[in-house]
Amino acid sequence: MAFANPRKAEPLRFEFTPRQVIALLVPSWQSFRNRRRSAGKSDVFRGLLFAFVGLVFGLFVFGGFYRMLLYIGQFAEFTAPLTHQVLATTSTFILTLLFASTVVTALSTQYLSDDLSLLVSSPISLPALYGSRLVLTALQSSWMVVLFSIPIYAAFAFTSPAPWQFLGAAALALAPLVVIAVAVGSMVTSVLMAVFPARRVREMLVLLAALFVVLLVFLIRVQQPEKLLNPHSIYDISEFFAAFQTPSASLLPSSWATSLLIAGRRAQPLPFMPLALLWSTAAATTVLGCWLARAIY
Amino acid sequence: MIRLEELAKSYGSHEAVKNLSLHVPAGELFGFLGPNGAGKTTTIKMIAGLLQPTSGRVLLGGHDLKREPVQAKAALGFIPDRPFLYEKLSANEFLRFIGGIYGFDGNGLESRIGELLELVELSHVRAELIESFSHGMKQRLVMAAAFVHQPKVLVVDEPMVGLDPKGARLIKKVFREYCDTGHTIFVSTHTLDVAQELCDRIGIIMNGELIACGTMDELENHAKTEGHDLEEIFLKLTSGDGFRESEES
Repeated sequence: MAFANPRKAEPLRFEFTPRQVIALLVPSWQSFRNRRRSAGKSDVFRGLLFAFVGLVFGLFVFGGFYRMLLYIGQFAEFTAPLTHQVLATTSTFILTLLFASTVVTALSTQYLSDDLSLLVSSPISLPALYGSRLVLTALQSSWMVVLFSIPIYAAFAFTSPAPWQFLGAAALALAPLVVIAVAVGSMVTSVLMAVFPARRVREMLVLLAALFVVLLVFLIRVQQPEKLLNPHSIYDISEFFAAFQTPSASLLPSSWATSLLIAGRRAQPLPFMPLALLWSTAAATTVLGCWLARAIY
Repeated sequence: MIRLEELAKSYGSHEAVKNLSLHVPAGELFGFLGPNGAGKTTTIKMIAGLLQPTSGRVLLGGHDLKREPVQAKAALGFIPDRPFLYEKLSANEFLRFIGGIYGFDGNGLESRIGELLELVELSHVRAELIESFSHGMKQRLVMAAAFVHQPKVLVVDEPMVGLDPKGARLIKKVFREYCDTGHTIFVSTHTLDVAQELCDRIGIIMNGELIACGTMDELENHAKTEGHDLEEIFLKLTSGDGFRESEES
């Protein structure tokens, strides 16, 4: 009988290590792999259809941005500030989308997931559990946003004198943006769950999703992109440059990302300060998220 | 092995569990009975660390669940009434994952998984996805998973649900043998004949309070009944409430 002679167990690893976090992600990876292996013809067809629709949408986005950037390129003296504004708007848009997506995703991955009862009753350290859930949240909430940012950044790269440097800068800017949005979004969900019951939080998130759309529109309006797409409509050059004096969100990570992208596009060395701010904020928000999780998760 | 000290849980003004104190020593199979809504599942969830008690404490294998949660949970095996399984994993992959959580790996874990799958008669489907298993097969896999790390304390909520007679007999045999090797099992069930047949001691909870606890003889004396019939004792102690609620549910 298997129970009659219990063997001596190996010492348990209670410490929080990246290996522990990865070990907790194994079922998600294996489930994904097994789902692909056991996929039937209809699943393959559905996957191909989904990929085709995504590709068409990606090409549409790429085409739109490519044409817009070519158009902007015609106004030699205005090209740089216009490109700056479009990049700023794009970065703000991506950051807001990532944040909104994370708040909603974190509710299901970190609080309502069916496997939590199994994991919480097991000897898993809280930081390891939170860390693995954070990675899962990041993957689930950001893959689509990141995927559709590729054609946008590709359009910028194709119209840039230094495409590879721009793509490098985009990667260096996008990675910490994802981390910051995921860490902050997850903290917002944690606070909501600590204060309200789960059902109420779900209802609130529907409301918050609507507010995010309003916030997005507001942030884009602050950038006033339509003024800049037709420079000839601005009679006075001072008025044109005044358009850039609209309240810029210099404390938002998206503006630091924009500084990196502009330098990359101009084939200039990447500015140290925005780069340091982006990555240190990413690290700080992650640590803050772990600290908050320890207190209220 | 399991020690509950003045354990209480409230939801707003409703007290689901009131100052529950209980000690289940090593080698004992303890039955936990009560009518629907008596506080059984709330108590079990507090023992498993899924619910924070409002007051009181839980000690598992000598470790305080609040102060040393990882050490306490390492001593625990928990089978809820509706257990979770990763449906897209094979039985082998699932048990390997569970073993990994408890710090087992390598050849030792593989041979342990082999033994357990053989015991619960799932060796022939070890590489198949769990989603293709019947309810009974899933129950047996959950049992195997709970035994991977040979916990000092096993807490089981409704162990016989969905098992065929053969599976039920296997589980009863396994539980008895496990306790005979010095481990502790805490079983919550509505199946009174199973509790009477298996358990060394039985506790009855009602309205969040432990109203009786002891061996069959002690419960019989407590209820002032004759005939060694747990159903009669249970109904008398709970004034028929449990029976009525079971009928309603």
